Amino acid sequence: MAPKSAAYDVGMERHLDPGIRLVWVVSSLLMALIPVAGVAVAAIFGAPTWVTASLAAFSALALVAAVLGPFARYRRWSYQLTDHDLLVKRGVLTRIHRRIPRTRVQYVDIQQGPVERYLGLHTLIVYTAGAGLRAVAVPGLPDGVAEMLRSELLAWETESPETT
Amino acid sequence: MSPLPGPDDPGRLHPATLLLAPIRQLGAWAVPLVIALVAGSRSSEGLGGFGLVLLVLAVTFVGQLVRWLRLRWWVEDGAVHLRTGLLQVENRTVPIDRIHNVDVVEPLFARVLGMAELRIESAGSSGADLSLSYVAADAAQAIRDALTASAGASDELEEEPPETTVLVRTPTSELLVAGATSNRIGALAIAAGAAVGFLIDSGIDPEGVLDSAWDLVLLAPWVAGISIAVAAVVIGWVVSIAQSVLRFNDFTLELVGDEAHRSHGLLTKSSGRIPLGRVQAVAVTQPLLRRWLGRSTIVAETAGSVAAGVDAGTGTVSPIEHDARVPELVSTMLRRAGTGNERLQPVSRLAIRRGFVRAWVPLAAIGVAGAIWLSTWWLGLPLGAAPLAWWWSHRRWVAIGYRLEDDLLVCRSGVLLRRRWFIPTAKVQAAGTRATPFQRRLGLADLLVESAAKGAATVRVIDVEADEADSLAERLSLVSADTAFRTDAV
Repeated sequence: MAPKSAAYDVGMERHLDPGIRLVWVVSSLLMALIPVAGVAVAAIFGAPTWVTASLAAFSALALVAAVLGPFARYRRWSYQLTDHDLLVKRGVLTRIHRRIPRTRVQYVDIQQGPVERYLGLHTLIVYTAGAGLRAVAVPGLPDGVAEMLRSELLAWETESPETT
Repeated sequence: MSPLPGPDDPGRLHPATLLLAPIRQLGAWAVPLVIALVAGSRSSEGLGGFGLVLLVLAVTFVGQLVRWLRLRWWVEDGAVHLRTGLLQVENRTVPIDRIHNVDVVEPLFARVLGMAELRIESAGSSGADLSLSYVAADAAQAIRDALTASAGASDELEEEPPETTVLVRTPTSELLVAGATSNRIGALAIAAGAAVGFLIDSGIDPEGVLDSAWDLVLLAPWVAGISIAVAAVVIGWVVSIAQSVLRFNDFTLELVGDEAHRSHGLLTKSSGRIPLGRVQAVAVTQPLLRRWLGRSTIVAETAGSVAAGVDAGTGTVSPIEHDARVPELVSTMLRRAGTGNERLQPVSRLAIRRGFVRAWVPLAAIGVAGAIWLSTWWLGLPLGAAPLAWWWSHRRWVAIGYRLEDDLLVCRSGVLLRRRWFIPTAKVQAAGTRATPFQRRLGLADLLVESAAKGAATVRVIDVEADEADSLAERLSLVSADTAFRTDAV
């Protein structure tokens, strides 16, 4: 459940909403349909057996990865808003930690895809002035949390540095 | 009188701009034109070709005329406005306080006609830039003065002009060294080597080659190959030296108040200004030959859209500089007292191991494959290459270093092309770490630092101990967050 207090709970490492796994599974299954379609085409046009077989094996792998991948990703995904920055940790094989200093946040977008809309999830996109407008996206935020995170991230300007 | 046109009296480009495009076209069409004229003296079709060229020129001229008639620019509400286009009208607005750099570029033809191109760079995407090609040369200077004056010091009172210090004046002899030591030589040498190999290995189709030359090649392929290689290197060398002199002839960098003023060029004259507060990072680059000669290239990167590199020339602090003067220039550009030349901290020695594995494993794979399918002698490849790979990865490790101070991050890397980045922590946009499974096994991680400078978008320090990388990233983020209250953060 999203905290109901007005101020966002700063300093706690948080995981994404578990529903994000479904969002990821759906999108990666859509990608996995490409090799599956390849198998169908190969079967229809009577490609050599070894071609169809290897395509089928690859499709099976892609389907398994499409279902299991999001679970592994979910386990490794976390974010943490601290007094001075937003820390995002992600990556299954290659682990990436990224810190965006709060004062470097240029603007913040909130996005919602169709599956996310169905599940009531949001993606927060934070832009810095890094060359080429670098962004960091935090997906899987329940209703309210994304907005709260956004106002918290944009709040530094009104705070005087002494109060922190 | 202000050189900046207002909304009621918008500015146009210099009328001679109309001549320049047809002149360029004429240059491009010179060869077909001559052919057409020669052929035209013999047949009527040739005259038709001549007519076609004239038609192209006329169309170009009309296009330029429309562009010239429709283009308007003016200054209103603290921003430069530009409107162009006949069917699709484009409006572009660049706020003056966002202007990072104003360049005046004078290509040869434009200079002859008394014109210059004005390039206005601002922070943000490349679409935020604005170019006026061409305006009168003296007007260009005045416009630049007016724009940078209102961009930099709008709240300051008009005082006596700030004192001017010449920071860099590059003699031509140094430019010859710069051209001779640029890394293009390396690329050309490789190309030449490939040419030799090609010549020796394969039977070249003799068609089109002079018979006598081909006889020579057949007689002594080695001699011919090597002479071609030498010729390629010499030509490349000469071209590189000529380019260096053409681009950076009479290079001067002056410090005027809080701005660095730069001017250079033989045929195309270029001059620009770097407000020091807008410098996002300074890069000191040394190709191998230059390092041996104790010379460096210094580039200051702003958040403008022009990519890094001496080729663009935009942020060049010095095209070639004696190493002894580098610390002084770097600290001047970064407006800090320290020399920036203290010892750097090495990364984990495990980096040597990783570098070795990465260099050697592919060779070992080739060797084993060769031994299985071709001959056992292929096993000699990984054996022979092992010491070389170890030496290489050791050199690579020696090159890597970093130092984090409160206000500055210094990173160094590169064997053939050694580069040192000086990034003020106040300009760091984001920091982080990245660890592959192999790195995690050894307890290592890469430190990633993002800045608004194009060339230094992400600077990596590879194979730092994981804990150290994490704490460095955290410290960078903390310092960056604390210093960003200054308005000149970007």
